[in-house]
Amino acid sequence: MQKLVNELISGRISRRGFLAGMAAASFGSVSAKSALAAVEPMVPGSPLPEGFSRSVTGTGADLIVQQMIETGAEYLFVSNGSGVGPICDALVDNPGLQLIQATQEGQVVSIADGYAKASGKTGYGMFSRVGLPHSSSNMYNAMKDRTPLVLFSDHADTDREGTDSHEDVDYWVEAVAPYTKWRWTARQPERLAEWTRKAYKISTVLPGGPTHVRIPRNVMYTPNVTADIYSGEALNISMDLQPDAREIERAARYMLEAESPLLYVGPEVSQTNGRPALVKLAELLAIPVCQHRSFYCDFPNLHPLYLGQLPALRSYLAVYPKPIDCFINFGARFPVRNRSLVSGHPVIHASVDPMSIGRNTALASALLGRLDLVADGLVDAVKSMATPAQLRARTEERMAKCKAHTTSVQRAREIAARGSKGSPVPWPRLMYELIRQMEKDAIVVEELGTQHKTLSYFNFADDGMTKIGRTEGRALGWGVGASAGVKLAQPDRQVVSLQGDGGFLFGQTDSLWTMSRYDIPVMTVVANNRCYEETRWQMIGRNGRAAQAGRDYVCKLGDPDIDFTKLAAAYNIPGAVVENTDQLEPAIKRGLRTLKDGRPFMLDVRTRTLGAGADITWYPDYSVADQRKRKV
Amino acid sequence: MKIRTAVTAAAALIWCGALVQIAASQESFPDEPGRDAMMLACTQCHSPGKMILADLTKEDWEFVVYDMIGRGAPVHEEDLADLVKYLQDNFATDK
Repeated sequence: MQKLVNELISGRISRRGFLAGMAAASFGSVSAKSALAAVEPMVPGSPLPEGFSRSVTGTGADLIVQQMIETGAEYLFVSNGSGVGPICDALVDNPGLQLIQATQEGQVVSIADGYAKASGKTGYGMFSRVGLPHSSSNMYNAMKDRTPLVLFSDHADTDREGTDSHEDVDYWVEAVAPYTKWRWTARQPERLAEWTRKAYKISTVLPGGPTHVRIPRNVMYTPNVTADIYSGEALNISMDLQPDAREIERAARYMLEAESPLLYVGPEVSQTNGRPALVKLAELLAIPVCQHRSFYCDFPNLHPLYLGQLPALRSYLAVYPKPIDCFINFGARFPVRNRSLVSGHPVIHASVDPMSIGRNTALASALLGRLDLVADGLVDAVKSMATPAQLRARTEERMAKCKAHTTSVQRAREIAARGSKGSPVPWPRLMYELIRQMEKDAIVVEELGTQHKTLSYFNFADDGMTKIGRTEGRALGWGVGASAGVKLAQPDRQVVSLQGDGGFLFGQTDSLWTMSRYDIPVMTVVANNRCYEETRWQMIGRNGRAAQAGRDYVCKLGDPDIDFTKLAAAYNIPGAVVENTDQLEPAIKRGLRTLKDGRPFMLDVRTRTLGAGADITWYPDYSVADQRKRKV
Repeated sequence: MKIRTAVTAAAALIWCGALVQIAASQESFPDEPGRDAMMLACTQCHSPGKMILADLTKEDWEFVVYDMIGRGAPVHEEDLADLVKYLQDNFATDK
């Protein structure tokens, strides 16, 4: 659909062509017309109702800033660069935009990404023209998560670009083509507002994603430019992507007739606010739920029907021994490796993204639409096909067995956490103590390895806590900046960021500067096991030459043994080191008190590592100083 | 023809290998309380051979079981004590 939207607002296809294209992509006519209404104000030559636009005269940068504010922008995340100068000038007369600075481009994008994920709004960022390569790792993360971002940078002046001169290369925007939904070099000052709203609109249309606009500095500085600024009302028309009614009925029948259905949920559920409706659907049919790896928790994880990730399915099937006979993918993009789950029986895929549906799996039913509407439609269809008594008869046993199973597993989990103690700190106990102290509606931002599974202790639900992270792209160097963006989006909710020591060292110290500068009260918990545990498992676990020789070439971090509270102290951020489980509770309490006082906090928890390679002490200890012939 | 023979031979080898492994598993994993829970919860991510070779004390085994449960290994409350005891009694270095 994004291609069609792009072609429509670029004037390459007509309205009729757009509707035909939507029909060809399996959208129903209601959805297609709704989508058309949403993008129509962007179509060149479209008449606007009175009051939907106003004429503004100013510099090119003035037009960008005013159009951004109209789209609902509250913050502009920036890093230093002389190309930001025209925007700084424009802010003097347009104070409606709060500028938040990071110390490098990668963190600009992670902060904007965290803000967008926590607010549901588009995140705006700007950085120097030469900062694009540095920004691209988190741009890639945003693209994988379909996070709506608009990222600007300056560009060589129009009389110098393309000459391989100072700070310029050919084809700048091509470099980020795989990581952006749309990218452009905007050279006409009178069209800067147009490119700004186009970047906004394209980033926002489901499935979202980052857009990038480069603007020659002289174009932004051009004075006395007159252009139309569109009101937010003209741009923010909700896209009511209704699924096809006949397809809903077909899918509902498959689900109703199945003896052992399974729901497999992914991030599009949360991105379309589909959780409450999906819970109703799962409960109505007593369908157990597995979570695809996701940067949200897409189903309440303490719900009796929630099993966890796919490997956990096996133990459920031991208590309910009927093979899965209907697989329902709700908003997960990845293929399922276990072929027995997705072949030999009906497979249903619900998604907002026609590019994703059926991409990796043969389907019995494809449900294209917003997932809250799909779930609502399925609930209504099922209710129209079976009486409450019939439904009870079909689902009672499954619900009872699943509930008994998940309740017992949760109790074992709690016993394990309470029984875990000592030094270094076991992961389950760290999570257990955090939950006991944290507020019930706190937000957890995580960038962990396989230890993310210990988050199963938290109550992530619409009336509980919220999980944001880790990114689907998994390029490290996102979480600390993202947690700052999350707090900016949700200033009245407690925010705790969970990081590994390895992930933190991917250039994330820099975001402590932003947290300290703007009093962003986030508690960063570094689970410091002095290694890259997950990659060590992968490498040593294969028992190759290095493992047999007892050599850990790249996973050991303990030398130098970093005290993360000292890094934080350099930014005037207080912290505490926790060596054993007895120290956990008072340290967490101190951290959360600091947040209440309006300052960030660093908790360095020395955690235990285990598994493949944990006992290897060898690492490539090499000293350049020892190689010298002259001690200089 | 040669290809088919090779494939058949390979399949036979794999089958024999599997039988040997099953026999070894039955021998290495005595039928005591906790065995079924181990087979269900642990082997969804780890091969049984890894458990035999793990160089862990009784205390380590309790830590590992608790840690794995924390990381999502689905063990029922009523099986937990048996599972820890089974691994300690059969595979701990200080058993």
